[in-house]
Amino acid sequence: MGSDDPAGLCHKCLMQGVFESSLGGHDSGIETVDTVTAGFSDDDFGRYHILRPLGEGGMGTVYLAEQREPIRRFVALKVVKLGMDTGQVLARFANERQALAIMDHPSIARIFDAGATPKGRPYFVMEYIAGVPITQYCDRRRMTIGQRLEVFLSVCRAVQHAHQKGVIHRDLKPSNVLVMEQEEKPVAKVIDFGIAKATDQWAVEKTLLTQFGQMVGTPEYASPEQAEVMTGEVDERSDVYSLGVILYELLIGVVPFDPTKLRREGLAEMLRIVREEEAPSLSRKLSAMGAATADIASQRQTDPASLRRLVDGDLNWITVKALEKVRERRYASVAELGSDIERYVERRPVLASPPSGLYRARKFVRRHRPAVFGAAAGLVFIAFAGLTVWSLVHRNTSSRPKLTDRDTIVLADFTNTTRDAVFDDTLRQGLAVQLEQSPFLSLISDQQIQQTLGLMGQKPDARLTPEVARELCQRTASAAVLNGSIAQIGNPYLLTVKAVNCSNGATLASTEAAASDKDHVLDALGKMASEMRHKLGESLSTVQKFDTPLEEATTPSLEALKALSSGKRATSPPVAITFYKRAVELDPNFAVAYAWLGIWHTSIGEPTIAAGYTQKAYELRDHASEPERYFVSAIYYKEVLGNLEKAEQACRLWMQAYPRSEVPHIYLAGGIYPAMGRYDGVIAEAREAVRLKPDYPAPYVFLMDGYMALNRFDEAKSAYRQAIERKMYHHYYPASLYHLAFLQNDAAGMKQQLTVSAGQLGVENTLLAYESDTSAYYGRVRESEELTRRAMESAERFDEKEISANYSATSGLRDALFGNAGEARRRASVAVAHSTGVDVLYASALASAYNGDTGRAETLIKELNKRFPEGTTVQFNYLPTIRAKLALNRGDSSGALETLQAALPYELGTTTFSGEYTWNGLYPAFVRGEAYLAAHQGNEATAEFLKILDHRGIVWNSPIGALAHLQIGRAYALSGDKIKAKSAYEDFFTLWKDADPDIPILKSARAEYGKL
Amino acid sequence: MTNGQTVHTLPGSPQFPTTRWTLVVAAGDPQRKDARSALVSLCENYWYPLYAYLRRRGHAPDQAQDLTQEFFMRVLEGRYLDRVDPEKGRFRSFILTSLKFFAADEQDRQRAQKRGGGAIVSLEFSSGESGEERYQREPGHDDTPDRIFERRWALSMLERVMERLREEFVQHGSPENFERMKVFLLGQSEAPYADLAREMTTSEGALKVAIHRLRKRYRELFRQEIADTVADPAEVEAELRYLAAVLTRK
Repeated sequence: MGSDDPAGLCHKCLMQGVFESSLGGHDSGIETVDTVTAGFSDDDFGRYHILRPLGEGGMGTVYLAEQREPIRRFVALKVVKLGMDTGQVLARFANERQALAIMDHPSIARIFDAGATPKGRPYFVMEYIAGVPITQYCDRRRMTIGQRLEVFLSVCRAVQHAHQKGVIHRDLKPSNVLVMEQEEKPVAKVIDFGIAKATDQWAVEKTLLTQFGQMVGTPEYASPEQAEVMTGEVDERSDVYSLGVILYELLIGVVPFDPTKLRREGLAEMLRIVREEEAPSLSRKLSAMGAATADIASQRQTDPASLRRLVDGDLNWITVKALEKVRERRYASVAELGSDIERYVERRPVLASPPSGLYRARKFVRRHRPAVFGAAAGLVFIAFAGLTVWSLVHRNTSSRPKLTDRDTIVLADFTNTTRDAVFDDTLRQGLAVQLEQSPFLSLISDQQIQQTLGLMGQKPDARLTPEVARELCQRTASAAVLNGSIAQIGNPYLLTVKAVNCSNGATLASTEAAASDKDHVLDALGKMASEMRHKLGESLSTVQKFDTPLEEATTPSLEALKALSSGKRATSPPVAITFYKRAVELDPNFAVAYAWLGIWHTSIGEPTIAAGYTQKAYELRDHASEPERYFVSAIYYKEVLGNLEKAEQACRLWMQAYPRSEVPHIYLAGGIYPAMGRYDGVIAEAREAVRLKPDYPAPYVFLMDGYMALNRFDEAKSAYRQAIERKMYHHYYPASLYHLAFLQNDAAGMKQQLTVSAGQLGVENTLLAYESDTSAYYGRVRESEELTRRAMESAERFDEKEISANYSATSGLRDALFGNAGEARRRASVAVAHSTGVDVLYASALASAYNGDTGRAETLIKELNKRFPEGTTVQFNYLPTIRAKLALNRGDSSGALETLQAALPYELGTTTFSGEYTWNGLYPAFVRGEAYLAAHQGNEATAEFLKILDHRGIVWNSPIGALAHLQIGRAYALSGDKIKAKSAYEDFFTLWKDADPDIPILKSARAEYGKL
Repeated sequence: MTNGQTVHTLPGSPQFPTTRWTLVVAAGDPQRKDARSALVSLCENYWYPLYAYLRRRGHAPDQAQDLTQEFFMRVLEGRYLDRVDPEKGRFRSFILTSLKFFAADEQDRQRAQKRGGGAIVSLEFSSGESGEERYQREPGHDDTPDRIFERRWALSMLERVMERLREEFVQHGSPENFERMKVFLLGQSEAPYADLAREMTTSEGALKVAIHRLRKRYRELFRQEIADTVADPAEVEAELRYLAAVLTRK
């Protein structure tokens, strides 16, 4: 032992442990069902020695075994099939053990023991009953109806005893009710009490499906609630139902639902039948038996006609009441059922009676709802009937627990028992897409899930098991969890989705669907999603209106959908991009995957690449779900066309259709409104986004930036505090906080954000660029250049080449404004060589205009014009500004002023905003001021430059913020106000007190000041 | 520029459902970001064997640290990935061969030392122990740099597996069970089940089941971890045997 030994264990030994299985050690680790049924020569059941198999059931095999210690006796050893969670089985059994121990009834087989073999097979040790299933016994003995009822009553008493001890059987069927003879009298024994619960027999996972799948199980005896919720709330009345089926079979020799038909129709249909179909009456069923009726009657020592009469009365109503689909209408207890049979035997009136007409009407409505709606609408003249039906339906639905349009829901990961990994994540993703089409439902976002998982001490990509999802649901104050499962039975797949109220665990709705093969799984999922939406309370009209089939909404390729879901789970750009790329490789028409590629490339500062993807997404938008279509359109209008009006309109339509979605608000607040210079809109939309999703960090940043832009610093701070109180972090915070610190002349605060961002991917470079701007703002050009270099290097280290180019371009523009034409040219050409992003083109063009490089500027203008013919910012802000500067160069100040008219509505806009690099606000005003100077209109010029100083929150550390002071000085000088002019020059010199002395514009300023 | 879908808002380590080295090799272009992330995380997991290698080659602690960092930077730049190299099948071979190239290129190293390099990965263990502290505890015998690298590599892997295994218990809220049962990972150990079962207030049967699962999970994780470092899943068993040989040889 020593430093070599992980976890303090000998590393050599650990290494050997890895090979145990492949070297075929005693713990082979590879087990198949075959080895289970093949025998247990290699396994150890402790003191029980297996003698021979007694039979095989759905969840395992029963053996006759001999116990030798401490007493010698024969026992039945039930070995649970592999594949179940042994630990859980045993834990559940342990819970039940106490109750089982106090059950003491001659008709209940005792359970002696439970355990697990070293190989992990759980087993139960029970009293060995040398009997035969009750139905077989009765038929073999040709027992009359009366005799059968007597035996059945003894079974009821046994079950009733168990219920009194709090134990529900959950799996009553003839093979669990054995009859043996003691002193020539039949004695029934109920076996397997406690086992169904321990093995969670009806859980969706494994058992049920294997059981059904292998067609060894017994759905004929399962109660509707067991078929409905599977893991559901089973109570005594479930046993009443199963006993009802046994009674039915004892009476007429067959079960209500034809087992062959049940199995032939597939699992989903089988479950539906169990859940919804009313059992045929005894006499009707008997009539349908045809020739077989004779045998059945003879086994009961009677003839077909007599048998039919016998069962067509109270006995029928007793079975009907026991077999009620709705638990509340069933016998409330086995005792009640038993008493009613006793009453029948004693020829007294029974409790069970034909259901009332009203009740039957209601059942009819429930079964044939759409048809009845049609009929009720059409047959106006039966107004009364129509009203009755309506009110019944209404009562029926309103009693059902539903969600409201204020609730949120959480999707758990699907339980996938198919072993086909392609379904992992994929189905959850598919369901999410379908549910998100609903304007009514609102899913907790993946971001919030990751965040909450963090609070729960889980990893952000932790599996959302039903338990984890339920906790998530509670923590996010959501209303429901949707648990899904997929299982394969032969070729077909069975899917289930269940909505559970996460505060009390009650089932709100559930749905199942079967898919004949893998290719139809998505289709089935889509249909289930629509059904679920309606069941959860969404109106049929919106369900129908917003219901693009899943395969159209996403992709017909399961693999591609899987890649998409992996991408959505990824938290870092490169990983996400890899997956989305894989998704579009697999399905080249996968619109949403392209959209995400666009988004991620935008987020890492590659707008040109991003635009290509976004364009593609837009072209393929018909292959997207409804909300995604709005989304794709909005980003296409904004990022590719740059048409802010269209983008805004798309967001508005999006909000109308999906009033619960925060995304259009975020998009308006974070991208569209800032570019339009509508900061009140930024605040309003950000607030709305916060209201809709209080735990989503980005809107707080937008709120903060919106307030800052309007110089409302205290409110900006309080927005930040709000976010911090909610313990939210966003990588935009450092940039916004730096911004705020600058505006408040808080040097320490700025420094702090620089420190915080150091080394942070994609954040560090932004802050370095800001710091570079700040240095330039104070005229410290050399320091600024060094910082720009570092910012570019940091950006390039993360492959953010376009961002780096943007820094170069901005720094070039700065040089141009300061009069360093040479350096400005160099930087502009570096920038354009690395990116043809819109902002790079603009900064370079404007720099060229300031440098007097008219040809260069014209080329760039052409390029901008060609690429963004309908780009709002390009046409109404960038191009007028550049053209006006060129006009000024030609001495055409009135032309410049005229050109700039177009920019008036948009000059407050900042196209890059919120945490990303921003610099372009109010340039049109700056050039307009210069035009007025050139036109010798001092007052007008002053007004323009004052506008820049008044909008500090927008202009902030941009060089024009500093130069505006100088320009005001020039404007006053022009108007002849020397005192004000001097004071403005002095303001500028104060700002630039540490400036590099050789800056051309500073030199001219000093000269001008000297002349005043 | 920003947009409404700020999907990358949560800081957190990227998770790789596909294996990392596969991702790197499949990316083809080493400059691609997906490859880069996968590489960074591989470097994070396996920096110590490289450090130990450099130390054993005679570099001083500071120098070895700088060289390790600088080397990673080179790898991330794609410096060695573009080589057509049969060794690429396994990350272990690739990285050692590349490190040798790097160490052999005097000029490159000089530059690295001048620049001081940048920190790509933290050269510290999760325990806070530094690489040098760990190195000081290396046995003093005269293993070659290659041997020490391989041995450290195998042990790093073993450590990661144990860490992940423990992590899973922590996730289930029962780290103490891991501590109690881990001894059963030692090959065919015959530990007293009965006593432990009593201690854990469970049945012997249940304990055996739990141990069975622990062993199974351990083997799975080990293979997963290896899969992360090979380009072809078919390589896993061979690499596993190789590592075992490294650790068990005299």
